[in-house]
Amino acid sequence: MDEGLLLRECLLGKREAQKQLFELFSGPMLGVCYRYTKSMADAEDVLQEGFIKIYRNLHQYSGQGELGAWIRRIMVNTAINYLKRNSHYQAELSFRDAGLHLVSGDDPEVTLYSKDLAMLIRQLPTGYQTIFNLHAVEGFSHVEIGKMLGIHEGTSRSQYARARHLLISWIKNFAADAKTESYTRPRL
Amino acid sequence: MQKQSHTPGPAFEEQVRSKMEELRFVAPDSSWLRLEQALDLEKRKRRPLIWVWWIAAIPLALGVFMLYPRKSNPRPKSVSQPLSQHKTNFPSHSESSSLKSQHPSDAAGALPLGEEDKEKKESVGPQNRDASAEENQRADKFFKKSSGLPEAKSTRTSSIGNGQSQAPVRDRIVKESQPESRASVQESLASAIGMQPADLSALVALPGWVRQGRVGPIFLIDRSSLRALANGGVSIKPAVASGEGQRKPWKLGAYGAIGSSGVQEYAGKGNMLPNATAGGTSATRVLSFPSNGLSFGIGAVLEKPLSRKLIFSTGIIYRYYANHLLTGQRADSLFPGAYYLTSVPAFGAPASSSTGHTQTFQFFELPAGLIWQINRNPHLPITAEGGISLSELVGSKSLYYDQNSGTYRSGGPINHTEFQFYTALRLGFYQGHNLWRIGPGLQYGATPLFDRDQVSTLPQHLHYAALVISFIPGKP
Repeated sequence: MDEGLLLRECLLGKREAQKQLFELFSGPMLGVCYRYTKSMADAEDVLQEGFIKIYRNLHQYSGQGELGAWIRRIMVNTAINYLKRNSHYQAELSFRDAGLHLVSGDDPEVTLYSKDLAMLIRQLPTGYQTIFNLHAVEGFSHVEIGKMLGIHEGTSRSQYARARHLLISWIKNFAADAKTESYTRPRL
Repeated sequence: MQKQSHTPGPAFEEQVRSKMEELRFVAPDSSWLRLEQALDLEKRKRRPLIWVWWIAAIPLALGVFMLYPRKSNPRPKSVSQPLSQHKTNFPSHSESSSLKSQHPSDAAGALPLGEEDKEKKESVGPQNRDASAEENQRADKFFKKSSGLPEAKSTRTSSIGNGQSQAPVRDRIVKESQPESRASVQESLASAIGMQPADLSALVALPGWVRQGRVGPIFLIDRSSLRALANGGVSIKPAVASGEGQRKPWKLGAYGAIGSSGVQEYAGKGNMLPNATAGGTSATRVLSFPSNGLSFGIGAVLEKPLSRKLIFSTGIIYRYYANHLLTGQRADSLFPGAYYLTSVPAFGAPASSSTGHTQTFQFFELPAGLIWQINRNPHLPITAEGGISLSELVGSKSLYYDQNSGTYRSGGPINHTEFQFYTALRLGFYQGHNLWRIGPGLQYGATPLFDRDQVSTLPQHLHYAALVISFIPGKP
């Protein structure tokens, strides 16, 4: 079905069209939700909540820009709100300005599989994980992240630097372990 | 929010991004089933909301209906089709022509109206007689009042009944004020509206529901006006003039309220959330002590009586809300359950003792509601009021609790358009012809104060309790 027609049908509340839209974007969006959460169940919760918001606010989509990008933005916001709302994330979701960490130049080459890398990102503390995803993966600037999370821009920078530093060290260790243990793609 | 920018970063970020884009997920089938259930649930939840909208829409619709009433006496339009061609139950052209022949059209109203009506009534059947007689009575009452003449003992109905030739008061005035013959007036009116004079005579005798829009534009002519014209008199609406069926006018007045306002926070713990500061212990919380502040409102109200006891009310009101916040960090004291405030761990905030803030909000409100008189005393009416108010923010100075940083922050995206519910119980009294109403009123913001999609804060709702006064000048 044509995208415009699909949107019109969705706006009319037709369940078939809503299902089609879900099938079209649920895969990539589940990936987004997965990166921000700690479990697949939480990721599915965010996905569901995000799609409800999408159906509810579809009339606000102006048609400018890609529909996928608009949906992704809603999904990211939903994920952030989900983290803030849930107590087991809230405890970890603390953003403190802990001084700026310089980004070292000796970045390793990321030779891991995508799923391994995603798994390592998800092992970061929630605050680090969120800011790392927003900056490194989604490409938001620190000013934008500051506004989204209600924190200072400098705090975002310092948290990101810490997250990056931690992740790089984990990647190095992971790669070293993989060399010795005939590294194969793990199951998640 | 600025546009999302995928700025090319260092090699590490580029690699991470590309690796993440390689990830492929497939949502399980159960996801759609769960989503479908959630959508159904949401649909059901929205139904009551729709009812609330409908309930709110009823007084508004009533207001609009009253504001733009249908014209009861429009200018007659000429129609090319003779009346006799309309499919109605009034006499045919040939039948009604006989009426014309019975009229002494050459004599200036020489025939007593009683006889004339008698003939008409005979031609249209008995069911119309009562209505006609009733209207004639009203007309005669009015003429008696306006002319100062003594009341005629025999009304039109009685003159029909006893066959007396005495004309009622109205006809005497008609004769005195209108030298033109009744027939010629009938003819000129009939030609103006494209009818045969006899048809017009027959039409006058028809029941109101036939004439009022059921069979064509010509029938929108008011019965009493037609009757007066057809009889050679002036177009006067006796029913309106005597006060019966008169449309109740809009009344403009002033509104004032003064009281206390506050912010209601929801979420159980409300203003005590887990602390996010470094080294925070379970005993430390960031919290505020909210307290009420001054609230006042001034504006204009428009009231429209819908019935003897029910009034539709609307208007425009400027409302000022204020409340106070004492923010700080909770620290438990030696006494169980007691605590005090220490410094606010806000970014850039001075590390001193607790800080006081006054929040202010200013709105323009458009209320729409109903005023119902509870008691029967017309001199001291007690009224219960209720309605909704659509508010537009025009100014604010506020703080909101940021759950992420555990601090209070200034500004924040406030919902500019808010709905509020209001109610009041007031006592009315008259000072001369001016009506005062005074009593306690409550208002509660149905819409959360802050836009929670943009800021992470608790749902907060404005409310106030105030003494509400309104002043409606004019006759009761």
